[in-house]
Amino acid sequence: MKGKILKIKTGYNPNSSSIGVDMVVFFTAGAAMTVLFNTMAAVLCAGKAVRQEGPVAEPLREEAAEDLAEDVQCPQ
Amino acid sequence: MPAMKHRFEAFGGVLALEDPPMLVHVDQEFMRSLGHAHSPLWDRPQSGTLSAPLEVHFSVTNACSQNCGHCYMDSGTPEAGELSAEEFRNGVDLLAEMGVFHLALGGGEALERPDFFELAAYVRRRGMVPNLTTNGSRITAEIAEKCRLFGQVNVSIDRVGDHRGESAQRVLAVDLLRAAGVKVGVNCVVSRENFDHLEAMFGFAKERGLTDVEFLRLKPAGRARSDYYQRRLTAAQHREFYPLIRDLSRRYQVAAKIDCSFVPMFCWHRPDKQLMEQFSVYGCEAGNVLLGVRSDGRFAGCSFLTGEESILDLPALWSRSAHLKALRGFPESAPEPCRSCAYLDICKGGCRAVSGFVLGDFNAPDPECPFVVAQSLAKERNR
Ligand code: SF4
Ligand code: SF4
Repeated sequence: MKGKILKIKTGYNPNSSSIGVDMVVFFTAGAAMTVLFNTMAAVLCAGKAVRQEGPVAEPLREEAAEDLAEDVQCPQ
Repeated sequence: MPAMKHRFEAFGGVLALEDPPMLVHVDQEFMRSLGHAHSPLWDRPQSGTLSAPLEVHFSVTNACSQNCGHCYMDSGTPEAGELSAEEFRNGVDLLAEMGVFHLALGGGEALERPDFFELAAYVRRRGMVPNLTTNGSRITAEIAEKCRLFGQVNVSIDRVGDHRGESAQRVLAVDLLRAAGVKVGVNCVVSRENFDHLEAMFGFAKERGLTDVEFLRLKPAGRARSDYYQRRLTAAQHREFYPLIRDLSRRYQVAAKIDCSFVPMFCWHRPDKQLMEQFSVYGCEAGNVLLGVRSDGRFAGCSFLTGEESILDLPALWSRSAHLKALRGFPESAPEPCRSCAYLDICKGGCRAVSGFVLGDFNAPDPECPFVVAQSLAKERNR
């Protein structure tokens, strides 16, 4: 997997008037890395499922996600 | 619903996942790695304007029997010329074809429209995720069960603690939705009346296991215009807002969101700009990331702004509408202090709705931004 993740927006915004911004990465030390890791795992996992045109893959184990994520450049 | 939806953009593409829910912007190389062929959009110069909104806020009716004195939509009776089910579906078809991912349905009170669940189900069928804002008055166990079709439902609650009457119904709605397995959050409009009671909101969200609490700045729209100056936060409260919710969120371990119009108050505390960009802190993205549609089909940059163009003409108007172009153009023509502000490209001058109402000029810097307030005070002192 090559390329770069530029921007992540987690969750939904049911508020039907303006855009909501999840503040967790600003409030909690280390949250940015966790969100990033989960994003990579989820995208890679879903990408694999799309390529295989099969069902959604099982969630990746942490080590597997790390292996898959090796070539993916993500926000610092 | 496929595991991951996508659409192309000049920079690469946007991926939309439902579990966990997220929108991820990636570059062209990433898109190629996912097996996507070259997109003609990649040959175009990159600009900050997206090919379509990411989310659209759609009012399905202006009817609402609660008639709250501060309603920003002036809700009460249905608007003249509200879209029929067929017209709504036509609008949804266009949004789906443009690649919109999320539709936030609201009103009025959306659940007062008799065919509401048919409309919401249609949004799902067209591959978009419908979300809902409700006042909770119509939520029964049966309705809560039907709400499982939404990505998330937010109940509007501005203050907790007095669980009687209308307030009790809102709390009951939260409980019924939770019991039905729906992801539930709260929309809380922050005003002078509840600023000192926000801790109770975190306690409530913790106790009820809510997904998050979204704090919305009071806007001078609809009936909320009449007492806006009495109810809006003071300059000191605007400065205190961010540290207050940060500390409460940490203490109660409850996720907090702020809405786009609160971004200037966040910027005042000099957050890490790179982190803001990477984690999609959006300031005024009216007419770019989001679009608001009234129940009669007229769209505007967001639900607090007004426009006269029809959603049924959106594909042609997206890049041509003078109204949308003006909203997107703020950073290029920004006056001071926004012009020299390090956060201009994210914040985009604060809330256009507030500037329009308070100053009569939608293109003026948000007069309640702490930097703008500080600049005005400095000017006065130097006079
Ligand atoms: S000075 Fe302008 S751009 Fe900077 S935070 Fe305030 S409103 Fe936003
Ligand atoms: S005018 Fe801009 S900042 Fe204000 S609510 Fe609308 S999108 Fe948000």
